[in-house]
Amino acid sequence: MAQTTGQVPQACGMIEISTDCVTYTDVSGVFQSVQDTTQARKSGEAYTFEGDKAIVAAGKREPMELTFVIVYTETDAEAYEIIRTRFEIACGGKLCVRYTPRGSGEGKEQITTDEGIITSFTYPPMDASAGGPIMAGFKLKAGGVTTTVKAS
Amino acid sequence: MIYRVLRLLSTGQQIGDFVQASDFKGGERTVNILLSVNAIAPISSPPLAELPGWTKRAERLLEIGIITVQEFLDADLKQIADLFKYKTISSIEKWRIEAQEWLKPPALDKK
Repeated sequence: MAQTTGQVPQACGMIEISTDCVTYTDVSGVFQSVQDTTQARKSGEAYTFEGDKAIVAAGKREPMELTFVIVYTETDAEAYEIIRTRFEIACGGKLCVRYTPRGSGEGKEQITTDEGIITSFTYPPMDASAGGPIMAGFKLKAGGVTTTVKAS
Repeated sequence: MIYRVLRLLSTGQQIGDFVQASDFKGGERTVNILLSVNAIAPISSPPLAELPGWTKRAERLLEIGIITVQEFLDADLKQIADLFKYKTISSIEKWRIEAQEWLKPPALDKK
């Protein structure tokens, strides 16, 4: 097989959030990373007296708990304050996130979470020995993600 | 031109759906981008006369040069309504939906 030329850089994507899962806001300017993007599927096995290998079966896909690292800012319209507000809503505010690994523009793959719950939120830490900006973050638990091709 | 959706689109169309440039804000530009990434593919449009129950309708439409489903979908609704002496275009709109439905592969209707 010929070596691929279709590789995608990690650092050139676009990310957006939505509190109603319809209208999205570009937050690429404050998000640093998207992690824990692995989704598992339930599976099980049984052993029988006949044969030497297990019998396996598949179940449903398990929910995902994605981790996002964002820059701490104190601007109301920026992600930190939007997400903090959603997290602090009684019983949990919903949030959707979508990201495009190859950046903005049509024809690119876009990964959109189902409506999720913010299960943890990192308030700003402080470190007198650090030189970088304060980073915050959150975890979003969602049933899964949908991959689409971006069109408008 | 009609295209079949091959990959889920962010605009909501599912695999197997039919789209036209007019379905996108970006029009032909978006269609060309989606074609380039194999998210949609053009389909060959059958003659209207091949659609079940459309034989007589197809004969009338031939009078104004409409032969295929594609030509029918692209045509001016008012012109067709006038041909059939309809006062409104509502019936023609229903025909368009029907014609589009006939293009869908049967297996994908079972959602």
